[in-house]
Amino acid sequence: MAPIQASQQTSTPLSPVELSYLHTSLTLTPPIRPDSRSPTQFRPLIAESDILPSTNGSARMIWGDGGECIVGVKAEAEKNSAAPGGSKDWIEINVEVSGQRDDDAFLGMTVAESLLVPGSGVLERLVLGERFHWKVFVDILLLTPPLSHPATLLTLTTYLALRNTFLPKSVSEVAEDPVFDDDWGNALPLYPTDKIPPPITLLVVSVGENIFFDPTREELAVGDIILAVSICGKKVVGVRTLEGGNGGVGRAVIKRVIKESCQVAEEVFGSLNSVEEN
Amino acid sequence: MPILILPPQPPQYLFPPEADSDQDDEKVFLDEDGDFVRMASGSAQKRSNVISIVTPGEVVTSDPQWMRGHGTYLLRNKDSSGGGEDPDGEMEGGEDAAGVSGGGASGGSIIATVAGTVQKVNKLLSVKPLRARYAPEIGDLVVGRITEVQSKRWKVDINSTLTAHLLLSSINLPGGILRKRTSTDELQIRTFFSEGDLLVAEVQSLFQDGAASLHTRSLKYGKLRNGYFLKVKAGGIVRSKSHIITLEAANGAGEVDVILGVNGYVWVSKKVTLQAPPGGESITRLEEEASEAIYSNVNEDIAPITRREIARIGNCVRAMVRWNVRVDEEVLNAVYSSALEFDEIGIEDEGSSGGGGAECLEGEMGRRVVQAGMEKVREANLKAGGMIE
Repeated sequence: MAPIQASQQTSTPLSPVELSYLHTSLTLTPPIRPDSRSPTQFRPLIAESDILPSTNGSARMIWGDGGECIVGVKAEAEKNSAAPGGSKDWIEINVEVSGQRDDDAFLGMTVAESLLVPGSGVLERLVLGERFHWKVFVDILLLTPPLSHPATLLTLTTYLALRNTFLPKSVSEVAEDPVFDDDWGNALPLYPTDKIPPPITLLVVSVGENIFFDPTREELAVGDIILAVSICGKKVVGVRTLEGGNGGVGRAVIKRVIKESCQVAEEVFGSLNSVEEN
Repeated sequence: MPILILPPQPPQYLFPPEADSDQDDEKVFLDEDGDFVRMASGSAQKRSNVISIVTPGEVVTSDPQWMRGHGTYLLRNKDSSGGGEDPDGEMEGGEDAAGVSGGGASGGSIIATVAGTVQKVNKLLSVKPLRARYAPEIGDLVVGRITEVQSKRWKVDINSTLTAHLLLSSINLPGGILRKRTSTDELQIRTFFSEGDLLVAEVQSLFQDGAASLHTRSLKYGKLRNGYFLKVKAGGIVRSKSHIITLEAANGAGEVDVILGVNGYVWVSKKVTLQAPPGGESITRLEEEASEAIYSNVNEDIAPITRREIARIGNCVRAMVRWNVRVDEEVLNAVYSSALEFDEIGIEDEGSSGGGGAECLEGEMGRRVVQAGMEKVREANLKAGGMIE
């Protein structure tokens, strides 16, 4: 994977004694994380939404280790095409990492994958009558890549931006060409809170029998396996392994990862939703 | 609650620097646009003098009476025939130097090359950067990480603009301090240090280009083991009398060493004492014995309780730097003990998690712990002052 991963780890590897110290600390019961967090605790985040006036929805998030990300969402009405891509093309995601080549599609794929998982309900919300649909452009700007893997930062910010996206109200019939209400005050949220929300991806690292959320770079370095868990609503919709683990993992651990991810994600969704209220 | 999401906070309140008591009633902080905003706190509205922050390229002054210092350069005007207006008054307040055209009797203006605060010492004008990489000086104790192994030297990352050098001849070779280095040593250079290894060293000399040359020719220095590495900003740790601090950790965790590298790299580890050989042998013998194990890559046994306290002390250092407090033995001790107290009483009110996460000193929690620690230091100072009288 990994041009991004590689470039973040251009700095030399950790020394053998550090790795052994961290690994032992993290395999203890209860585990001791280097910054004394509990296994499910996240570093404090700073987030705000609705920061870019010229977009339909936007958000900014600053990660605990200094990573900063801005997401803007714009939408336009488009005629349904018979192209084979189908509804997958309705969302276009573009990730730009400042200071890096922009022809690396990897990160965009990570976000897109989690957004487009079947059953997430993201695409269904974009239908505009029989012949039209919204085409959504999600532009992600990673101002400072975090020291750990950026997947969580990107998806959380994208979630916040999508939640914050308001589109003009359609006043036309299903079979007509779409006509919209002129008043932005009547705009409707693309993803209302009571409906199923866009998915997010959490990073989980397992060391021995223990699992950790929001791993730091050091924790990633000693992890047996690094998982990107996509969660939509209350269920896990995808689990992927990321490169970099140096061990295996048992079934029981995976089960626990899935179970705990659901619980943690619920809290994360709760906190993210409260950002918009502020 | 496993996650805490905060709104961005405009008034980034930091503890004021203690030394400049005449400036501490004024704070400079970033507002939401990233601009610096000055605010006089509390009762100190009367002060008109302001901390001025200049940005690279900004004209600090065109008054010829000032000499340029660090962080500035001199730009000569094309036509230096400028009128002899009274140059005084240009520097008042230190920030109104936008009027370049007017001044410059000698046809030069001093321009900032870094973003920071203007400092004046007699007639020398310098700009102290807000954030900078570490600039090595001879005698500094630094913690570094090997980035490259060459035939007779290592390259060491010390958070400086240039990587430092560690020559094979400036380390303690196993088998006696007085041994000469041989070609065998050159061949097995990786047995001493290899890429990624951490070490503590002293800056021995500086090269022409400002790169540092390190040495580890003392038993205090050498490879680091039995602990945890953390990084804080380079200015966060200032040069002081001692950079190796030993704390008596709580809960029977034994002693913990904290090595505060001037470059902002910090090593927190279990204190390991070299066992003197039973026969009461000479000190050189001890050194020889020690140097056999000096380059080992194996940790000792560290009890979980010690690991917990190592993590806590690391958090304290991080929080102290985050909240702009001087890191030294006295303050670190105070902050550490207040961190323990906070952990014991638990946090009932908002802003922190119950259960296992209360030890984490990120964010607001860290600020309160540091504040409590500073309170302790102040009390102790008052008490000490009272005793002298």
